[in-house]
Amino acid sequence: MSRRAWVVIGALLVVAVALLVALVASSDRPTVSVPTVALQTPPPPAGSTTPTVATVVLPMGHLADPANTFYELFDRSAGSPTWTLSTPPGVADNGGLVVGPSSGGVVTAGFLPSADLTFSVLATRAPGASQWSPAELPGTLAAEPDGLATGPAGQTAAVLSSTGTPVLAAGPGATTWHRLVSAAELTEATGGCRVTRVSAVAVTTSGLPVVGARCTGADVGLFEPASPATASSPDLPAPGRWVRVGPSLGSSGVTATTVLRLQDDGPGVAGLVETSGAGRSSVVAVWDPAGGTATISAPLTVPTGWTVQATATGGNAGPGLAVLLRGPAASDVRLTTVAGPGGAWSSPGPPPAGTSAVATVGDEVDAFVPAGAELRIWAATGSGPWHRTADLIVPIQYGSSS
Amino acid sequence: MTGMGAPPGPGDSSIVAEFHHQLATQGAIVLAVVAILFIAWNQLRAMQYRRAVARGEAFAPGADRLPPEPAGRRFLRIAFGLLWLFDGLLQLQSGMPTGLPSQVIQPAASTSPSWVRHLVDSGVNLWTNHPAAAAASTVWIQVGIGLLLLVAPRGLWSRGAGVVSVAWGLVVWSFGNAFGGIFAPGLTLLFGAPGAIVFYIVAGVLVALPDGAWSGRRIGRYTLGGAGVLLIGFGVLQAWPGRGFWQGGLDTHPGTLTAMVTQMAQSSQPHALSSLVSSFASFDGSHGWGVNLVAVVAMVLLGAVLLVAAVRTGEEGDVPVPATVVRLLRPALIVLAVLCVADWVLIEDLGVWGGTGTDPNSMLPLLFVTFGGYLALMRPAAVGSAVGSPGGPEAATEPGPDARAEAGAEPEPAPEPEPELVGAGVARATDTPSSVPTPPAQRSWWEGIDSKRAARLAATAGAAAIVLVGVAPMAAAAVQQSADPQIAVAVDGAPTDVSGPAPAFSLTAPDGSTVSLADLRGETVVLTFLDPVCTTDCPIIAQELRVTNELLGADAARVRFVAVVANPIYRSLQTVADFNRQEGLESQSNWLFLTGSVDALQQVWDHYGVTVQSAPAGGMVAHSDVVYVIDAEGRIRRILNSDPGSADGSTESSFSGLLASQVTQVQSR
Repeated sequence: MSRRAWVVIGALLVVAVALLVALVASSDRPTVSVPTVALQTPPPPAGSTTPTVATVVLPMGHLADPANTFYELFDRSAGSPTWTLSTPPGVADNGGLVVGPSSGGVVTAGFLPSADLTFSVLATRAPGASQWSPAELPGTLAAEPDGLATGPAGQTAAVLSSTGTPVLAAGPGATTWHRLVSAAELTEATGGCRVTRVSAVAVTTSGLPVVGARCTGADVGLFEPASPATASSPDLPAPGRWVRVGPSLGSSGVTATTVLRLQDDGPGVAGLVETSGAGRSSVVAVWDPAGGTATISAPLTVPTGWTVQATATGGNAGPGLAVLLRGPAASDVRLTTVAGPGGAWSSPGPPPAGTSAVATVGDEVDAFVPAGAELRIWAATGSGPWHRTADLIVPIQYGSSS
Repeated sequence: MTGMGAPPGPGDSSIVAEFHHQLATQGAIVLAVVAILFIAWNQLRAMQYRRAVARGEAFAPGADRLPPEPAGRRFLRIAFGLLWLFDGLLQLQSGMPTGLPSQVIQPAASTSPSWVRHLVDSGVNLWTNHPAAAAASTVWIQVGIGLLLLVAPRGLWSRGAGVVSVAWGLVVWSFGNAFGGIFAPGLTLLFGAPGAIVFYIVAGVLVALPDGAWSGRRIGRYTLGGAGVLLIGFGVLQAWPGRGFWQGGLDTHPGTLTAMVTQMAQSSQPHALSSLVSSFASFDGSHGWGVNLVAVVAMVLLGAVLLVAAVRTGEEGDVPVPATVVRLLRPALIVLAVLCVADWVLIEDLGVWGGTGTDPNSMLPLLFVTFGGYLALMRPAAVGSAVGSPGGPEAATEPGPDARAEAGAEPEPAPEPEPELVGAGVARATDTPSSVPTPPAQRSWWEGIDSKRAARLAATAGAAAIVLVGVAPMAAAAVQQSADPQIAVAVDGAPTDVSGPAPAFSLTAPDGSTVSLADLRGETVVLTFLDPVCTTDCPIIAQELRVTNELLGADAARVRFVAVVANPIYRSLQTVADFNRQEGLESQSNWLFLTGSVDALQQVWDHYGVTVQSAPAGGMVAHSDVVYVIDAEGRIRRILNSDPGSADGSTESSFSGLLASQVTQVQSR
């Protein structure tokens, strides 16, 4: 082939290569890149009852589409039979919503990140008020049903999702935050267990912070400040040392415990703990009176393939707890309650089909059955029959956050 | 918030309009080039005629001194020239600019490995960022390649056409065809594997070969042998169990081939054809085992015949093809032709329907390559006959002495007709009967130009120019810093030109300082409204503004990007600071995110026509997506709808580029 032919062919190949290089080089142009974070799975539905208000958070909307699943807050004032939609406005909550009502009536709600919103914000509501006030949180809330707690004076504690799950605390108004404790510090606590994450926080009626955690081993990860007297303050100061007050489940084959729920019950705190080990899992109720000895219930077995779908705390004027278990089949649903220390698990009967959340108000159990934007509320007392108490239409804002 | 703008879909009117505009512009250039070449050639002929008359000589067209083209090469060149031309015309469909990536390229790559998808995505990105330019470029490139193959029968230009078709074919096969799906499951020759473009590439290689390579039967042997191996290989693959081809219908689920054909029948096409294809799908559903058996046997047997023919035929052109080969080969080719056409109609469904058909699929190119190999085998060019010998276009003529002298060697251009065009536009004593007298006066250089060859050269140059008309815009698009602004216009409409004083405002920056519009006099202000706790549009718009700032380069020093909080609840300095940190904007010196009291904000929203509305039940605050460009004198000059639409890379990049161009225009007023 002649030299000229080679030149021609070479020129053509240079053009082709230049085109390909340009294609590759196009990756250097400025590009729109929206920062995102790995979204957490929203916490399961949770009911919380205090002497002044009962709250429940549950998902509604198009549940198969995360962008159009919104977490709605309903509350019921003490003495009122009516549940009211009270979801704080101003932020899309299709990433999840955590609520921490206090015995004093202050309610704090926290929004989990969603889509391109990577940080959390809070909303607070004064006792008896209907308007919410915005508040900031210097971090991202952990997706735990009791990841947010409000004390009687409005002091707030929040579990963050960042590495080490630190717990922050703020005085009334939640304006200035400080570090309360972290998973590593709890592991170093007196009698501590190996804490893998902080899973719940509560503030007692006396203003004492109590922290729940996931621990490896058979010890229940329930922690209080070593010096309760100095720790019980409206500002929730960071105590120097912590002590594990959760009971040990002994040689029961349990290899890990997780505090699922934790709430002030008057004397101290009441909570639900999930245990696992030897291929089995169960739920135990725990009550820890301030300064006293914690007691636990008999284990509630969670059958293989079943999960804890929803929980409720604060029943029976404080110590009452409820667990909603769901199995693989649509008909596999089991609601079990316990009234308080020393009480046995009992069932008020199969809840209405489609129940996705429960709340315990006094000796009454309320079941919430969502269907898109409609909510049906049922109630039962003791082992009595379920009766429908309310039908609500919720103005779900489909498409507003997608 | 306004609803999400619909992304430009196939046939989007503004994109199509831009596509047609670019075609028209480039077409005008092509016409101009062709016209100039034609006029030049015509003028040459006229001048030659007048000079011949002045000399008293007879004016005769030049003698065509092109050496005979090997039959196989000629067939391939013309067949694939027509195919490229047809494919280029298919690219004129309105659905191509926005439909080709989403409806053809990405689905083809969806089952391929991730590295293939990554490669395809880089090509798709270029196309989606510049849909009109890429689609128009492809038209001209393919039309140009087709014309180049057709009008340049021999020599460097012709071989160059082969090289160009190989280069473009490789680009298409990799970036646009996911390598014909050879890395994906469900591979079958019946449905287009290894990609029709592979046969275009093979044909291009053959056309690009030097003339000497066509001497003898070597090319024919290799081509037929290659086709034989391909058929046998795909026949074995077709027979492989567990791939769903032996089952016509799997319970209630169709077999692999039935499912493919059923899908083809559903594309928009003439009813008679869809009925025919559907009928075949039903037939295959009921007789899948038999259909596959026929396909396997046909592929293996035909492949074996081709392979045997290649192996048993010598390379020397003067050694006849064995009679047994001839007896096998001709019927085999007829059967192959029938089966290829049947597959092309019944399974590939002609390949051109649906509004985004890019080519008639693989059966025709496969048939053409095979037939070209057959011609190369049966009618080889004699040794040396490819160069320098006069004669007609038939192959295997007696080689002239020049050709014999060069037998086995790379052909030298002399006495090549191009580009020196040594020939006779005017009859000369050496070429024509001696009745034409030698003109007494000295001849000008242009009198010696062979006008026929000049015509051929002009046509070739025109075809090459068409290819360049296509390559240049695509190369320019590839180095653009942002996507075509037309995409943003398709989503949000064109920017609105206005001229009016910008309403004043005085709000608070995250550092607590007060900032008013008057403080920003002397700078071009890009003003928008963002919700600091927004989950969707606002982070995207903020990033688009950040990219706009980058695109402006040095001009950004005279620009201030100002966002005003569009949330009556979450508007604190801390929340604004958190948003700035989330978006990486806290370090951008010309970025301001301003907030204030509800009353102060409401006033600004009202003055700028921005609607802000809280929503119940966990909904996001709804607000208008709008951007104002305010000049250094404080006058609003542009209003842009900033709804991110589908919020993919091309729409985001396009909006940034569009906004940057608007800011530049305002700055230059």
